[in-house]
Amino acid sequence: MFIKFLILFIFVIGVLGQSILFAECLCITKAQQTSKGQDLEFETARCQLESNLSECRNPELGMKSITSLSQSNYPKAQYLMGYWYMIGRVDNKINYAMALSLLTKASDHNVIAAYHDLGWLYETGNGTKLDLNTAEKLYLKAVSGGDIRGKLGLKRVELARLKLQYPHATKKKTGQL
Amino acid sequence: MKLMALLILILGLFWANAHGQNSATGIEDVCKQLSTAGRLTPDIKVTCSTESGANSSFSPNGLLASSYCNFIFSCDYYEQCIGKLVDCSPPRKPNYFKNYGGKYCAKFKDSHDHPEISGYGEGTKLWTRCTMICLQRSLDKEYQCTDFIGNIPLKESPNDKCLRYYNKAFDGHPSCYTDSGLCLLLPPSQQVYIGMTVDPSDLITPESRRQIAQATQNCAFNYLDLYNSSGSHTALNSFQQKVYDVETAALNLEICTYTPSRPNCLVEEAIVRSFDKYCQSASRPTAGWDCSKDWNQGSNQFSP
Repeated sequence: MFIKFLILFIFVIGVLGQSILFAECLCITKAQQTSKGQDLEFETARCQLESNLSECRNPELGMKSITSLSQSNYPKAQYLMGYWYMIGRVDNKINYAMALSLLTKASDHNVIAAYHDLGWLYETGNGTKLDLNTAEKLYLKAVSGGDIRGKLGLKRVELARLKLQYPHATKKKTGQL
Repeated sequence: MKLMALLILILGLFWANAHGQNSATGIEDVCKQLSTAGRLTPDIKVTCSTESGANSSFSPNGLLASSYCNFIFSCDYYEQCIGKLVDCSPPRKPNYFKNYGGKYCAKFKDSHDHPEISGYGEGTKLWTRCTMICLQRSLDKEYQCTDFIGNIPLKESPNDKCLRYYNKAFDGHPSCYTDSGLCLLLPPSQQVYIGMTVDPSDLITPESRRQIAQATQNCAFNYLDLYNSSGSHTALNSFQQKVYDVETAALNLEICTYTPSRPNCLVEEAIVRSFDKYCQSASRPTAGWDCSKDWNQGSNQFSP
């Protein structure tokens, strides 16, 4: 009787342990069903970075995969790395030169989101020479691709040109217009 | 045999002691059971007032009606409202309200109130206010839906209760950040300014810093989804549209300072100022709380 109980106990613990230790990440399972090759690697990394579920989350591995994909010229990964360099999310340091290089590569592969962010680098002269004309062209490309951030970018270019035109203009306080 | 009986007695005493520590104290239990919806006629109001820590004249009803719990744009909520409703002061721990929520709230409010130093634009100021209300509401909902009069008391130790609020608060952070339009804050330097508000050298909590970093990092995925090269793109929700509108109006207003003859400058100014009032306050639900609903930034209340 005792032996039977012991075997049952070990079985239950084994099943429970397996389900806890090897819980399936549904996000990754779904990616495996819908994509393959580098796309699968990208989607898996996304699950590891974005998800808060313990069975999915693995930011170190996710970051490693995105870095590797970026080095293999996978455009979406190049966009991500470029954006993260731009806002200081790679090693907690801003690196505009790296951002410029990667966002340029991503935009060459028509990653729509890259146009706006690349435009901002040209608008501000971060990582490159300030060039409002190039910024404007990139923002227009963003708008035509459906990225509404491009519209705000165009307004910022308009504002930047006015600032260059009237460098001594004083900003009026609210209510004085 | 006698030894066995003694052992059982000792175990029984241990169990009773442990059980007593893990449940609400007797009189509070009775009071809470009595105040469960449907137990008494609706005109009888019961206040259970033992969960007060240092404040012996504590009344949840009275406190909830006070301005501290009223969700004005303030950080008093953490210590003066929820911190009193749920006592996590030492020796109890962790104290999210004092050590995390209140401190972070004060830092962000300071950046909001001094944009000339923080660099916060109009969109980022709106994000700060709406995020603050969202975070406070998530704690308030936990109290209303789990611990307020009428709920069956959970069998948990005081420290477990504090840990429950700590986890609830941290779990709510990422969605409050993104639902309040974090990814639409432009130009991209605004997201850098938000990161700078949480100074890495100020080690309030690495977890909070990590969450903000993760949320801004995830915006890049969001952009890939919103604007994909297949030509389709996801529409903004009503709240994201508000963030976009205030940023547009703020830029137009700035352009107006250089070209005052530009038409509609007064309108642009009125639009920007109209957003000043948004997320400055959120009235408490008067018709009861629907605990199945989540906080909705667009409607500024709990709704689908």
